[in-house]
Amino acid sequence: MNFKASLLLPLFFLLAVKANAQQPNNISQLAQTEQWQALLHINTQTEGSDIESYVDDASFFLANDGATNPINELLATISALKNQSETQCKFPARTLFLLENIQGLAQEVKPFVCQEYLDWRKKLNTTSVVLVFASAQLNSPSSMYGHTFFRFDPENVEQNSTYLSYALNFGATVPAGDGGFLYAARGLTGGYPGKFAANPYFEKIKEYNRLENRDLWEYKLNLKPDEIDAMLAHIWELQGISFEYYFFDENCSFRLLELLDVARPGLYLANNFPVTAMPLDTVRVVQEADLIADTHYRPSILTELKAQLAMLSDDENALALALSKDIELLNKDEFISLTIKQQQLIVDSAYRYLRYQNTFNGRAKATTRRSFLLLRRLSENPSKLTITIEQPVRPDLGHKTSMLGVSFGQNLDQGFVEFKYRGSYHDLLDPIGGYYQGMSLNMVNVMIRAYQGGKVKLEKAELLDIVSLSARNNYFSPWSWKANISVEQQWTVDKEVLVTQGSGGGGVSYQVIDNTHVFGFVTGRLEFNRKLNSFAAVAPGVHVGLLHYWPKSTLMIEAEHYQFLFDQSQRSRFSLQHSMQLSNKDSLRISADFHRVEGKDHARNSFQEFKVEYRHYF
Amino acid sequence: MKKLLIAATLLVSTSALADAPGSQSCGWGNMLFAGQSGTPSHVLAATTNNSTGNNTFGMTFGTNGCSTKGTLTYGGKEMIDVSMIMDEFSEDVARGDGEALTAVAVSLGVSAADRALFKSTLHNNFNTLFPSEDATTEHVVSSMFTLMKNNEILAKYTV
Repeated sequence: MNFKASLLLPLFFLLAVKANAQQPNNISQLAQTEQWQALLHINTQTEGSDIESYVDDASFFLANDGATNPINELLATISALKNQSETQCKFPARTLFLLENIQGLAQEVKPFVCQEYLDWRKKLNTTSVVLVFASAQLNSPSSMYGHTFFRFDPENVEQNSTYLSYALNFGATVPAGDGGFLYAARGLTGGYPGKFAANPYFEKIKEYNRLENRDLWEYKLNLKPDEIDAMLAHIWELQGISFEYYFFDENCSFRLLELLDVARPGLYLANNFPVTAMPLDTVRVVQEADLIADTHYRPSILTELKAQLAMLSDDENALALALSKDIELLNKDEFISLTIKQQQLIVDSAYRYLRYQNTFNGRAKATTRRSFLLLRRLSENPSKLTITIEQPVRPDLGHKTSMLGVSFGQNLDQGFVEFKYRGSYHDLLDPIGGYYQGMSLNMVNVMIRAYQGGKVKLEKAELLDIVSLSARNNYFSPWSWKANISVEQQWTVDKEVLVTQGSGGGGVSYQVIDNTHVFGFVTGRLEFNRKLNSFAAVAPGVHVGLLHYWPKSTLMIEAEHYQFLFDQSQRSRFSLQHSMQLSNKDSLRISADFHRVEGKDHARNSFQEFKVEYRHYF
Repeated sequence: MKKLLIAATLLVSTSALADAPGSQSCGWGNMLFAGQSGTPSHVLAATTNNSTGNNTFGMTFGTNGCSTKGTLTYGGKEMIDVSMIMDEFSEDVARGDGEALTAVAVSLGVSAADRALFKSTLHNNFNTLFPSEDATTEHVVSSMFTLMKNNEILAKYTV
């Protein structure tokens, strides 16, 4: 920029001063800045020939080798801006960045009014950005990792309605008609392209809060206007652009972190997740980067319903359930004799229950009629009914999901030290704050034991361990289930043998009193054990237990029995475990296990194991 | 287990929303309590976080296939597609307040000062708006406009 021009255009002068202050010496340095790499979705931790954009779409690049060569892409963008000024409309964020950082460029780029982009920005009228976390869905541990997306709010959204806000979601785009487990597998392995998509927020509320019964956590971010500007300009560049989509790492949450890196350069949020990006952990990273200004909890309709049912006495509860099945109850003495307030609560509960129950079944005529009559009755209520729902511990404030453990114990009269590493996530006894009761999902859980005398053994390597306990009662009748795949030591004939096994079960669970769950499963186990007569052994079994949660401590008592089909051997286990939360990062657990193995081939064996374990979450 | 095994409905329900104009699930023809059919697959939702809805950025309310722009208009007035939030809306009218009711008011441009009046007007006329469980969205919306037109203050928001 020459001196004269600067005098004529004070704005450009200011820009030039700013640019000079941070002006990289040359283009190649500029191409290596985190801003430029973020705009191209290049991992800033890669160098040289490893550099490659996550964007899997040629239309996103102006240079032929733009995906792997940020310098050439930068040169191509400059030349496009100079020669075709409408390039500004396709790449508003790149334009902002280059005009700010390249001296004199502003004079060479003809101004161009990008009407479509401006209309879009005007329509959004964004003054704040909210990170929304859809928490786990009860009884569906596969959703335990959660999901995240952004919401863009206009001014005064508190007085208006977030229903009308703009939600931006990154997800796999799946062709209509694809379904079943193949679909799930392809989602895991990158078989579908990922794209950003926009919906009104009410569609997201419907999808998560109502159809999937997931609580939503809305984290308002403290982004400043120029940061929001950069972010939206970049989002516009991503319209229709395909990324690869992988469930574990290049997923919804990872892409959102990249957008935050564009908004506020220097955060390097995406660099926190080289291997997997679990949505919950990404929320934590955002929180640790001091980006969260405010939090709002939006309970699912199931959470609301349960909270309301908890307000009813046993008699009222029974009446509400009966009313949901028979509308004539409104005219019966047992209902009419109640106070107006009680009547209102019962009608409201019955309506909510019907609505919850009939989300998916297409709604039979009779049900529809009952719902309508209840709603009409509700409209005649004189007073406003409020359900108080206590906000649970924020999921991002719960314990972290990786874990290292060390334990000391005794097994078969031999002392041992055990080291444990768990990739993710949470088991039934880990500190409960921020998690749901009765849900356990663990992936990659390895235990190595060193016995007295120096013998070192792989005790267990769990690939997957899921337990999902869903309480049944008069209103709800979900099934509980569990699954486990591992390599583990198993007492066979007269010594421990490393076996490979897969087991699972289905059953029921009841919450007998608050925070106490009892459960029972019918189980099956397939075991590959070289010490058994048949190489593959099949065993049906049963598993029962009791689980109690105190605020900072959890107790589990369980008993399990397997009857092997081919050699008629049997295995039983009775176990007591008690864990205590020491802090948000640590817990202590004591356990006692009593095993009994009997069969034709070997004498009856009973043995015990006692253990004290320290766990550190990180 | 059952929940986990059942497949794909987020998809199914989404594509149902994209039915051709005039079909039952499109816009005004929607029945009040029609509801959704099918059950979502949690496995699927979890592994793909499938981007339901339109993949374009010009967010349009209720892209339900009723028009190419996906915006619903009533008598030339652009507003949120009430059919997409009919459950929530009817419940809010019955209660006299709520987010869906506010969203309808905001999408019609009802100022903050007039919102309480808008809400009470609808609430007090629940039976007019929702005469039966078979009420269509068209009936609900046209009755709402009639109620507003008959109100000195709310009339200005109908044009």
